[in-house]
Amino acid sequence: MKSRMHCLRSRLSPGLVLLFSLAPLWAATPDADNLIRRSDQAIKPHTTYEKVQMDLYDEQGRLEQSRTLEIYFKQYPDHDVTLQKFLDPPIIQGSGLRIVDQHTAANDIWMYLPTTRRIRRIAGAQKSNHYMGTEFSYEDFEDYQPQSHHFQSLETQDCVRDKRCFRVAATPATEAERQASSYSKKIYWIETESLYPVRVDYVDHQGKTVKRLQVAELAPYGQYILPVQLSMLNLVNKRRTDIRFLERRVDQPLKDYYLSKRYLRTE
Amino acid sequence: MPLGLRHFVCLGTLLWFGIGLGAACAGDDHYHWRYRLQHRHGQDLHHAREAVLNDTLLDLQLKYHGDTNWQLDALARARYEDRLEPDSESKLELREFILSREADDYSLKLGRQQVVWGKTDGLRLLDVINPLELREFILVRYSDSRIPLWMVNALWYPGDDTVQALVIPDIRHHRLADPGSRFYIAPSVPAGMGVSSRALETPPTNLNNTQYALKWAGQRGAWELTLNAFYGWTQAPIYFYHLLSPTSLELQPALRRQRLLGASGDRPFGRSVFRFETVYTPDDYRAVNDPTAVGGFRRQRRLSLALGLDWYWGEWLISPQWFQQRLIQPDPQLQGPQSESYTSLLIHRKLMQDRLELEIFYLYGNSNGDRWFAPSLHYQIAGRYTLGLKADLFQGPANSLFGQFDNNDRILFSLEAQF
Repeated sequence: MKSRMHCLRSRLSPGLVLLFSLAPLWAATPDADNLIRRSDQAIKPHTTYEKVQMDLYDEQGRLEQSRTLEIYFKQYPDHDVTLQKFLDPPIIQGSGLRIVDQHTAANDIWMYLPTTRRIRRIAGAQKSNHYMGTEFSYEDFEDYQPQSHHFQSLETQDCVRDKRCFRVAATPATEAERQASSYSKKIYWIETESLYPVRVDYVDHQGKTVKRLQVAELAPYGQYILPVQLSMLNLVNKRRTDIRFLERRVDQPLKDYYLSKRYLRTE
Repeated sequence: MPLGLRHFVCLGTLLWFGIGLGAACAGDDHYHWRYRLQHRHGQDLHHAREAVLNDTLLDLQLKYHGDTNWQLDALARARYEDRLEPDSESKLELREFILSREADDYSLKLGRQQVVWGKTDGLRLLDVINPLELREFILVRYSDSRIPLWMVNALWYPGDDTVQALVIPDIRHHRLADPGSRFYIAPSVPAGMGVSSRALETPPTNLNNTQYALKWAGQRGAWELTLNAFYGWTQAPIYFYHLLSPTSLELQPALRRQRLLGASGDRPFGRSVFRFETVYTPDDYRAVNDPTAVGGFRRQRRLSLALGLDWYWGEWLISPQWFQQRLIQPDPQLQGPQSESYTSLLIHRKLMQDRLELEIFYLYGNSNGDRWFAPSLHYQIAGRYTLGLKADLFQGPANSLFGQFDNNDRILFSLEAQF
């Protein structure tokens, strides 16, 4: 499960940056597959460490719980691994998730709970379930999953902070993905300059937009432009989960230990 | 104020002193302190005014990580318990004390600790390393009822596999309920006999009596597998007896060497995860109707198997399990069944942004028709406090595992605070 939260990694030469900054002028509807590929490359570092604050709001907009967690991410040749460990509040401290994305419809997920002192395997195909009580589901942390989606360009529109956004609709292309996902369509709003998906609209199988992910702020971190804060709004129950990045290290050496089940088991 | 309660207050004060120390060190990143205060109150469901449990515990957990690769984890517990047994009890114990070192390809954990094997809920097959505190039968979560042992726990990580070796000089056994307690399990003796009992024989701690365990864990395709071996001691005392006269006998509870071989695995299938555990032991001591059998017991070979499925229906986890244990060679003189099987069902769901947790656990003895039904409800407040409500309901014939507690149905209220 590669986190879109991570970043934009600029692999572009200055000339190409200029070219892409002009992109909206000449390509209102760029080739969707190509755009997704470029965006995917741009937002995926080899490794990240992030310390994150996660705020859960109820339907009245009241803050119900603040959580702090650390997220380790590393790309391997044929799979990616994400490990999340909760640091706070005490009731959830030490709990963690390890997710191995082998670019198939279902990831491998392991959960550790201090109350059982046991790592329990979770079916990756139940990725439509809520993630730890938040408005995110497990699948919301996935990358574009180009192997299992069709992409179609929509018209470019104004989006946030006077920026323009390419819009791309992603629909499941495989039966396994259709079965596992709770969405019939996702609409990515990809900022033309950063190529970061600053907004995602999630459409359920009845055609109703049920959730919206919005990046509130992007900022430079080293050679990357990355989200500082993002928010997932559930349009059905009106609850919201905000994520704020407190600390981030990108493309630094990251020991495999921090992606391992033995680290997952530490409290 | 009862003596036990006074003890608890003293012990609790000692721990609070530790908490003060923790606060003093709070600015030092090398130290991490956690505290947990839990109170449980149990009420008999047949005699509504009868309190059957008052249990208060205070845990102080320290993690120290210095500038070296070594880390110290310690857990001290003060506990006051009333109503569970005829006498109340208070105690302070150093429950866990682990000095550990993590390197790229190995870990070393020295000290008093819990080691958890196996993948089942409710009943244990492979989870054999630590004995249990069984004074509340198996109604307490295992992380609280396991009795930690002093050991060397070495783990080696060749590639993606794990090899674990345990050397356990510490020999302890299940702590059973005292006679007169609600969950006392009487040894099986011939009816009408006068019974006296000697003290439990425990093996002395020395090299010959040390326990050893070995585990390999790895992933092969979608399967996650373990192979396990344990050379230890029986954890439940065996009540050998000899006749003193035609109408009286003397019990000699003792532990015996036990060898176990086992395996476990799990694999996801769509929205489900399939789990299994299997254990073979040639050292299962069973009572027999044979006057020539030493102490009335004969060693048997036993094979146990557990199969489980975690299936998600929306946000509901529905997890059935099936357990069976069977003696490999039929013994016509055996007291009790050659094989037993149990079926369990766990239903679990979290609601209200994970603040409310619903759980139903049902365990049914297929051989005897006995059952344990345990619905529970937990509500979290402010990320620190948990209010709990749980019932333990038993039914079945008096000579069955759960049926013997048919009159012990209870409801539990709990409050837990963590800092």
